[in-house]
Amino acid sequence: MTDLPVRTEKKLGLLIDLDICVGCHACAVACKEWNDGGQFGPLTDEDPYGAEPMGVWFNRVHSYTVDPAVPQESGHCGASSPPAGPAGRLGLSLHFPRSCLHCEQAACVTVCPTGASYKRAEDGIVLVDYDRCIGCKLCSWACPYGAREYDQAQGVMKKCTLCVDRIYNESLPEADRQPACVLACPTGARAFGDFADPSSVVSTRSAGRDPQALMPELGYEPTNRYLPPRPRRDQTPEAKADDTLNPAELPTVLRWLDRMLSR
Amino acid sequence: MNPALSVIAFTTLSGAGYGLMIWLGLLLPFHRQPPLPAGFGIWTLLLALVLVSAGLLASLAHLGHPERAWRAFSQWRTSWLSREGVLAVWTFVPALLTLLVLLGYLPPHWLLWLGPLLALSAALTVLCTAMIYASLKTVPHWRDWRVAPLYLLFALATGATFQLPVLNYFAPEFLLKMPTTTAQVALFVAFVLRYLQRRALRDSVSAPSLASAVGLPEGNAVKLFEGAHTEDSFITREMVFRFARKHREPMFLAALACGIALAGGLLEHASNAGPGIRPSFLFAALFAYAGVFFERWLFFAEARHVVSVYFERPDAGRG
Repeated sequence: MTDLPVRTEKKLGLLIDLDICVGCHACAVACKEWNDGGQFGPLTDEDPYGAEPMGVWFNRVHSYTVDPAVPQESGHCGASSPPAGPAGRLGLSLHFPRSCLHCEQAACVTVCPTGASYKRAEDGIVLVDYDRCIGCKLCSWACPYGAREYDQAQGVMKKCTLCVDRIYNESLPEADRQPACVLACPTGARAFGDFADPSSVVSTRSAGRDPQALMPELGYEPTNRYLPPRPRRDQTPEAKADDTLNPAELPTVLRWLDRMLSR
Repeated sequence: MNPALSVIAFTTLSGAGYGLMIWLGLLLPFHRQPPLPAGFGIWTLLLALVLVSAGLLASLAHLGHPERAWRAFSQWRTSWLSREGVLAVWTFVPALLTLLVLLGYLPPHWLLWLGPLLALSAALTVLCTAMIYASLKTVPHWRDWRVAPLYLLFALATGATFQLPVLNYFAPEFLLKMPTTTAQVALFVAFVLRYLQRRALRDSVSAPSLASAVGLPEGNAVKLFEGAHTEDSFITREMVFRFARKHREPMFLAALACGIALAGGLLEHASNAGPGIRPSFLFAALFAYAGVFFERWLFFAEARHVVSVYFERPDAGRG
């Protein structure tokens, strides 16, 4: 069972737009809420009100600052004209949700000694059978993305299920048959769909945006893709220099008006 | 990586046990002069079985559901952990048959094929244990061609050292120059190769950058601004373990002191003291084991999992 399927019919996954994500953690909280109950719950918390609370989450949001060191030809988040030097260069903040990428070459599946970890041939979702898992934690060692967490109370490994109990749930209205994180995202930074289908929302939304796989050099071929931030408007001192108006030459009232309107 | 006591005990105890089985499997059928005392074979094999069983039981302590451990034999096609389990159980077959030969229940000439089979099974089990770690692309320190030979060398070194007190007890009239030198050489070679490996890895290990980990092109200087959680998570406790990277050199010196200097010196002392019961052989074995134990602790603690790149503070050394 820990053999990977030769090919999967669908490649269900998430598209995360890093240009839109504001780092509000709504996806992480909604994920915790949904998966704490139902088919894959609970996501146990240890010492929840104590000194060192710790618990199982499938989704974690890190925040980084990016200092584009050199202008990028491909245009990802680099200045579009040569930077003016460290002081004039504009950095950006990057909010980065991290969860299971449902890799095509999922090492967490092949290292599993019991067959508890498996990748579904029909849709590519990677799941854990809690009844077979012995809790050896080797899958968490094999995953470069930190997607698997150990549930101390239940003694098994847990991971993002892509809300498999939502997306196929026919008792839900069709619009709600999406992962909880996607529905919760207030900015629409997340999309769910079939990467194998060129007409799916994840494929159309990535058109022209160069969707990225994480750590592609390791060869796990993650299904989930991230859209890098769009190039910023150039705000270096040189870029502002084409503004030929010199406020100092204006009459007082206009100078005041210019100052107000320039804010 | 956070070094779990259960996993260190598993790899070092079972390694010593399988090392004993390898030496015994090669020694018993082919050793002629002077004749080996009967008790030596029986008790060394019993010691090996106890060490291997203790190691395997210790590995169960690492599991969330040890009562389901039998399921781990099923995935030998892809999982080195599963292969290790299958071979570990299989090795009990030639080991117990060898014991029956030594106890006189089976014909002695069976040793001619049982011995090599025992040695081969034990060696393959040790290699499978090593491959559990050496197959992980996520831990560049482990995905190194020297990891598997090192596991085998440490098993052979502890095995060679562990059999000496038993041999000395059953045949105090022997001058143990030859097996003592073998143990000393095995310890020396194992620790020196490990020293060279650590030196080589220090310069050559490369892991994905944080830019690559968040899907940005190389060249972007990405720095952690705010962590995903204020307290530890399973991932930070298990994978982002920093203690050893701070104290690695004194730890490795302790391993070398125990494994080469103390164990080697005690072996030298014991073998030069002439015939008689020499407690130094026992102490040498204990120090050799301590050296390998420290080394194994470092093997886990020093290894840097690539997921730690997501958690690194800008001011933290990459180590």
